[in-house]
Amino acid sequence: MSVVEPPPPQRGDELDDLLRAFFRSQLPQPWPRWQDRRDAGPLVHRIGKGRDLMRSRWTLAASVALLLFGSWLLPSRFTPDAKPEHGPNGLMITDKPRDMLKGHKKPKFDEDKNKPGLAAEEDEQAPELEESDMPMLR
Amino acid sequence: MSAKPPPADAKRADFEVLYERHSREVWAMAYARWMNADTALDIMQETFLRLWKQLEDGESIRNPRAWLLRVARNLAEDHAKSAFRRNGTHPPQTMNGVPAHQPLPLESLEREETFARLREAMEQMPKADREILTLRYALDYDTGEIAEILSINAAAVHMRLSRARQRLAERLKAQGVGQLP
Repeated sequence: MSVVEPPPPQRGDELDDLLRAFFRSQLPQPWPRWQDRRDAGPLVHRIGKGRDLMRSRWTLAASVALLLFGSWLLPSRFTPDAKPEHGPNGLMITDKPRDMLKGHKKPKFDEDKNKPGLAAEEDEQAPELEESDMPMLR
Repeated sequence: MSAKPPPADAKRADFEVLYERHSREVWAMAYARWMNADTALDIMQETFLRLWKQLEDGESIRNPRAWLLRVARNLAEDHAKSAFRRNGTHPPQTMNGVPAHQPLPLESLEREETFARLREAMEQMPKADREILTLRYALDYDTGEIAEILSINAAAVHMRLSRARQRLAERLKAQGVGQLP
């Protein structure tokens, strides 16, 4: 009587064994009964959901309050009639920038009082286009 | 056919039968999506809670298995949207690499290392491959059962399974995983 040795394990068999062992280690043992899961799980789930809901509601309320406060605060700061506040040394905080603007721009604007400043600049700088300058339009 | 809704005990019995029959399949589907046993259990539980609500509301479900698998798949996808918020910048699998307080025997360490590499390789595979491998090896389903659950024919199952195994073997070989310790 001859003893037949089993064939050496193939790569495929090893992979099967590996996958079976892996998934066996992953499957919950013993498998939870519904009663167990229902008693333990959903309560935690519901508490979590409730907390999330409250947190999102508070966030929404805070966001709306911030938006309303901001919309009330900002227009009162930027109304055209509002006078700028004075700085700590008695000067107006916005004096310097205005003076700087005056020094550079105002004489130029005064040269042609009929035209607004920017429009006058654009008219001076933009030459009229000749037809030959626009080959794409032909 | 009577229009009377079934009494609560009958509903409960029906529900428990469905749980016994399909809860592992639902778990397997969720596991194939996330490769995390606890997440899969949570999704499975939520799926059956929804089934219970449906039954309580007197809604009839023509094909409970298909309904459960569809809900589980949707929940697994929804879980993706909230996973970042719950887990921060690290996926739940990160915890698998955290060493335990007690030193493990060498054999267990080797085994865990091999499983970690296998998990890594599977995570890089398409979801369809993971589904078919999970059904085959976690639930020991044969070709016919897999075909039924995935709504494809047996030949397609055979082909997909063969390709999934081949892809996985190649990945494992590239990672230097030899044989099961």
